[in-house]
Amino acid sequence: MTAITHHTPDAMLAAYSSGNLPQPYALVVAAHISLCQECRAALEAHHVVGGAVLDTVGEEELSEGFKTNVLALLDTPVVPEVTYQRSGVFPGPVMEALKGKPPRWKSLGLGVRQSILRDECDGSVRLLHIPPGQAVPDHSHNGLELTLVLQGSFSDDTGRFGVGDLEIADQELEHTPIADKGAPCICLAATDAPLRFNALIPRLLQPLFRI
Amino acid sequence: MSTLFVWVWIKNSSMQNKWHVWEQYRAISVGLFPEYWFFGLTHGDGEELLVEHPRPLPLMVHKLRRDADQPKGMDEPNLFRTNNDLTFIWLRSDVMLIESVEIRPAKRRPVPGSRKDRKLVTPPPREYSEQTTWMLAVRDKRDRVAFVALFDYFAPRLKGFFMRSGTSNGQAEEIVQDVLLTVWRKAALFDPHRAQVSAWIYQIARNRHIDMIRKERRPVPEELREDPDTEPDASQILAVEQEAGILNKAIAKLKPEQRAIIEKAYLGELTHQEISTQTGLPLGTIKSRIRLGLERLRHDLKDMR
Repeated sequence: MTAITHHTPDAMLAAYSSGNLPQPYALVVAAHISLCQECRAALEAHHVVGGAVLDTVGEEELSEGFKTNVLALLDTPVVPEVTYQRSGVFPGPVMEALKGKPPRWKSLGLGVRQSILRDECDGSVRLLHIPPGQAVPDHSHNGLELTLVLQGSFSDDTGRFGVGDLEIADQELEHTPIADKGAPCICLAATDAPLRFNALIPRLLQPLFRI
Repeated sequence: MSTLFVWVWIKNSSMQNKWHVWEQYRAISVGLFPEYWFFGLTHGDGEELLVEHPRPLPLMVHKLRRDADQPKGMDEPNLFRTNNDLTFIWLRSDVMLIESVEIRPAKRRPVPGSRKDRKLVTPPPREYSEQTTWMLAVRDKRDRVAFVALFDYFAPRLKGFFMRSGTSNGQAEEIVQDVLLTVWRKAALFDPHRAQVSAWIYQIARNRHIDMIRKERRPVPEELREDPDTEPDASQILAVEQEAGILNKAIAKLKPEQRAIIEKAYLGELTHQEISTQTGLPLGTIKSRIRLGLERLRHDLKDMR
């Protein structure tokens, strides 16, 4: 495996650590951290800062009986939470979003397929399957787009992105990612706004495919 | 600038936990920060070390560069390498500078490589913090007394933390209860080699808080589980604690405005755009300073990849 060269920016890790990253991005960041020990170490560093804030932010008096209540609950049996492990190329957080099932791919034409994991008012996140040599239609973004490579690789004007690499594209970036030769490229992509396609046909299809 | 000599001590397993002088280094540059001293060190053979000296805690040694073709001696520590001179990389935790810095004229410096100055010593006694001791007792022995101690320390702080981020009194206690029960139930996931107790609880607190507000689970990275047979590595655990201690002090020394920004950010009140445009937020410093978990992670992940 080649080394991960495109990482989660620090401000985004801080926002993720403090829980202030919209859910679609948080999924991509959690998936990236599952693959990237450097970002995991950096995230844990942010937790340390958070812990320092927790240590020093000040105490509030607890209401009477609160402690007794909590201690009485220690032995209450609980159903353990289901945790999802990596399966194939999909890291745990993606498996969780897939609820443990394989992705349901829908064709977008030209061999490109997608599987929408979440599409809500705070943005959307999907898996994309792009055959080797195939371009994702030329597009720019209304908002911020995070793309994490899970299999294969793609290249665009800003560089080459292999497994584990995270690309961050904002409104300024107009790019045409092309899947490299070899295995089909599978990506996890999150946006906080619909993508804008530059060619007419994809733009007409856009509402249909929710891309 | 005065010449500084720094002794690096290493623990040699073949000598039953004894420490001996590994090498003496001459400081080539010293940066004085309010809370730390940074030493650039040279050994005369192309090797450079950077040492951070958070008094009165033990010194940690950082390696910046090492000549690739230099043969590794039996008793040399296994060091990290980086091509980026500005990145601080933590050494293996069994390399620790535990003796003080001495200032004396350069001509009295022993010949580099001479090991005459090597002698056996016993490291000073060191102990885990109260929080780590309690947490390990909860994890390994399901110790209720230790849990009560953790409760007494963290419950009022957690309540303060949630109320600062605008949660009502009743709801704050509801989350505090949830967080502390999670601490009890998921204690097995606490790995003191990677996380200091406050940091671990902070992360649980943020997760539970958000899950409750959003009514859906926040995506979290896959857990790395410690091999249950792993022998505790005291020096690594202490190094993690020390790191957090340094950071706490560094935060305490910040200007009030900067502290306020840090608090806002880690209470979850700033978006990532706001964080990235905050010039007062010393995130770069934090990131470069805390690389402690990295080697541990490399070690843990070796088998997973």
